[in-house]
Amino acid sequence: VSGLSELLTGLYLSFVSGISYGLIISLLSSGLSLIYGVMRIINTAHGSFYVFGAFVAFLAAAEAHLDPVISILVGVSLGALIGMASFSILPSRLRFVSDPDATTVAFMLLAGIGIVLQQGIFYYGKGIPLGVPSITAYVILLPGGAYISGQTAISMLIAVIAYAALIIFLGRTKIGKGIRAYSQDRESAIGLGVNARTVTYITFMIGAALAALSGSLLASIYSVSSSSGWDELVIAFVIITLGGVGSIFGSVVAGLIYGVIYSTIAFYYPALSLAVVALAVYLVIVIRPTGLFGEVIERV
Amino acid sequence: VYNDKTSSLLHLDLRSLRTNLHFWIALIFITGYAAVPFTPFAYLKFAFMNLVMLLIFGLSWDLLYSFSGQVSIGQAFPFGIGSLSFVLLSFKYNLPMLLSLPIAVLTACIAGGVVTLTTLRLKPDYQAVAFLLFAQVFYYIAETVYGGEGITAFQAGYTGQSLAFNTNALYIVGFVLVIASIIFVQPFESNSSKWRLRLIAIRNDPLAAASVGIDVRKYKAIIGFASSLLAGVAGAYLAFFTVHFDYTLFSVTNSVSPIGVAVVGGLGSTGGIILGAGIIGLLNNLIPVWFSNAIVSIAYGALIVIVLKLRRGGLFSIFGKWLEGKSP
Repeated sequence: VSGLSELLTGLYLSFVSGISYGLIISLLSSGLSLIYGVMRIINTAHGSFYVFGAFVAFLAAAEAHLDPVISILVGVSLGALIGMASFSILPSRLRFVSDPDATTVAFMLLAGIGIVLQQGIFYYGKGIPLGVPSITAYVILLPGGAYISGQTAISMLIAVIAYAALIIFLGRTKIGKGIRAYSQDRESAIGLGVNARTVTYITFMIGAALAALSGSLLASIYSVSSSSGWDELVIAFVIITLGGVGSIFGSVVAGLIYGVIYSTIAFYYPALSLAVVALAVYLVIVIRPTGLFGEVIERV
Repeated sequence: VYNDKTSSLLHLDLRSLRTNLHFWIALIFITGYAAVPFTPFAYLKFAFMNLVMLLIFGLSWDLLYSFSGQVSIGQAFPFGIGSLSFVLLSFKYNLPMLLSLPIAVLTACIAGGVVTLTTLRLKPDYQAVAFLLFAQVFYYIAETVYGGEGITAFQAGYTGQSLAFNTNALYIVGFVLVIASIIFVQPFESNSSKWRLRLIAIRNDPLAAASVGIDVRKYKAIIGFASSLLAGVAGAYLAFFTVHFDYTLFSVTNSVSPIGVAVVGGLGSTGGIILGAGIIGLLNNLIPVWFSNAIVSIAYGALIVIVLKLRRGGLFSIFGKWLEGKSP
């Protein structure tokens, strides 16, 4: 009985921490999914945007002594800018054409940008953990002895607000509708007056901002290693593969599933948690290539 | 991007020898390799062995991408399997190193080939991610099982094989491996080869290729096995001359390394891969003398960006144009 009770407690605690981690890390995969859904480009620099957001927020808080909220905002804003700058490096043909050759070249070029950015941060940060001070020291007690920190709760709230803003932007604004139209049928969208340049730039900027937001929020909860970036790219791939490439909704749900599964495995077998998750997703790809929820581009 | 109008080493015509860039690059490389033992710079041997490893690794990725359109960002998987198998066989089970080498290569070939088989029906993007995931699985497993230190000759209970510490022997093995690897890829690169024509058809339009009776899956699978075999050679050779293996050999950064070699040198050509390996090898060996390894990676990433932005045919196309201008 005591063994079963321990097991259930472990599962419950893993569930609680998995939901918060999954929701915040899903911001990263949603950005990757959005970029892929609209442009058919696998943004291999995405993990670098994540660590860049954490790095800038860390610098703003530790060096410029800014308020944690302002630091996170600075991280997100500069993350969006670095995303735009990276996108502008891509030759224009690669930004608008989606034949396999062009997307592969874009993929390699972005990997090059990612290496420069990630290694630049590593060189400066020397592998130290990048942390942003907590906004609050409160702890919220949950039934069953579990708890979440006030900082985690605020970060989850910020993630929910970011998703709400994204949904409103994509669903209600002219540019947002243009992005959705462009993702569904490029030629028709351009023919009807959608500005491909504006749409692609804004999409890439939003994708990079979501990655930077994810990095800076996680830096405020756990801290982010300045040597990270590639592992997070893999995690983002794992989530969008589970959720279906191009689907924001799928990314959120898959992010939560990932967070819970990862936390549960990490609770019992911490060393092999990522290996088990990666293997499980590999099997999902091979058996069901469109992900658990299908490739739902229209939900972008 | 892809140099599909270049003739290969096997397609040497004495009249066009002057302008056959593959020939000149290969000749310079082989002459340089052969000349190093006669120089007083012992370190150059190590640099050239590293270059051989990069070159074979670059050939393995290029074979997969340029000749069948399959994309991998997990090429570190067969590479790491080759390396790990070699270290285990040689230093844990004390098999002769020259016997461990082919067994390790075969293991990598089978492991990488089987993963390729399971991903054949996927679109290139998904396939790239599937390869990456598999490499990551082994990255975490190797980190857990062998720790950060990995396996080295002494630590693994190595009882002593003189070959491991005979630099000349390691150097000669490297030479044999690189020549064998270059010859191995020539049937895929020769303009007159049926293989090449079929593979170009598969790469450019798999549906059209299937409609004219080409077994697309079979050819893609063969390339998958062949590419894994080369990656295994590169990985096993790295373990051979460093007498070491650690989990970072399965890392994403290592998977990106052959992509950099192929992109910087020039995709789809042996000459381009030799050039790319030369440039990246030079960066790997020169920059750490003055700066940290992070600067090597930054320079490496910047080079990929610059080449893809300004000259997508890689350095090979720049020299090719220059040589064409010189031809009568």
